[in-house]
Amino acid sequence: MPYELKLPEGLKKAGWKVKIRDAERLEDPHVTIMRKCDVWRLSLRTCSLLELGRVWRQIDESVRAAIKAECEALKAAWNARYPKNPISSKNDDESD
Amino acid sequence: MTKAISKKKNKGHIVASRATSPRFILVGLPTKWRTVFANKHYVACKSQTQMSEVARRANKESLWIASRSETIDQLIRAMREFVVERSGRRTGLGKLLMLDAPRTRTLGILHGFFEVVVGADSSFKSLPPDQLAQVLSAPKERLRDLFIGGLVDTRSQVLALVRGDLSRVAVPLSIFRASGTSKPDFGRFEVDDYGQTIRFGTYEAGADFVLYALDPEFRTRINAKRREREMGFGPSLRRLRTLRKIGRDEFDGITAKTIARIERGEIKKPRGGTLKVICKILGVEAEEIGTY
Repeated sequence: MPYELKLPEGLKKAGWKVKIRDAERLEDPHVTIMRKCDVWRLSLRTCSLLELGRVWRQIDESVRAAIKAECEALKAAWNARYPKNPISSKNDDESD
Repeated sequence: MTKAISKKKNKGHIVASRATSPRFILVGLPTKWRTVFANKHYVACKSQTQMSEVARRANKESLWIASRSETIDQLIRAMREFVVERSGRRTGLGKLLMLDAPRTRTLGILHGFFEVVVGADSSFKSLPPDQLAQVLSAPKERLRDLFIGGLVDTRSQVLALVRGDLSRVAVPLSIFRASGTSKPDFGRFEVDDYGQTIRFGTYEAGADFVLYALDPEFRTRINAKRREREMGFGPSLRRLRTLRKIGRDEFDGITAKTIARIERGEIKKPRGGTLKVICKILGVEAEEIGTY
């Protein structure tokens, strides 16, 4: 079952979704942010976007706030789905 | 081709100007389809005469979307007349996406008329109309990375997925392994999230997960982007700093947050005093950083 961040109705209607699915392309642990056909992947280790040219401000401010507020829950959701690629496995100092 | 094509009302259907080639041709679809294709370059036709007329303006980029097998029979008759009119000359009618399966016997005929035919099986499941319209009108470079539908063959344990450009990919079901929280139910297949998610019951997989596993072109493209991301001043700085075992908070007068932003490429390349401090702490000349 995917982990889906609860977003206000208005954002959902606008096509925003924030998910960790059961099968994700494995790189850095990340959360997938979708708006209709568009996508951003946010690293849960570094809190930076994984794709070059994608910037945080392209994402709706309320979606960003919801992600920041639920950061710990998102990390726990990743670890539950991908125990072999946990967020702590690269204990670097990448976070801000 | 622009969205701002001239339009006129024709017995309740919006018909694109005769001078333009329609991008989408909706054949006998319910009214709601016209709503979801609003603002896209489309023509809706119901009668055989309208279909023949539209065929004259179609080109290889046109996508015919049809439902109900009797409508598809009507379409075949219209194409037959069109081909006779053109003395059998192939003119590039485009691709055909069927939302309902046609009569089995007509399949070979449809393949003779259209360059690509999708949705010929009754178990084919496509995106909901609104999502399908969005995906089909996505930019060309994005089309191939989104799925519009597919079908599961449990006997062969293969999922056949159709991409936004109507090309196909065969996916062994074995790539969908149970996660820590869910396992796939292959009897409950769906495509969702505007072609970005494959769902089997409560289990979900990313479209990019599937493409990365099975499409070498997708992998090459993604890996090239990754390499590009790992090049440049920021990533070099991160590698050098890690090599020297220096924390981000050890650069006098520069906040850890600023160092993080430089490393992520959000600040292209620091200059002046900032660069001097970085070089001093890391013990290198400025031009050396990019070599790490």
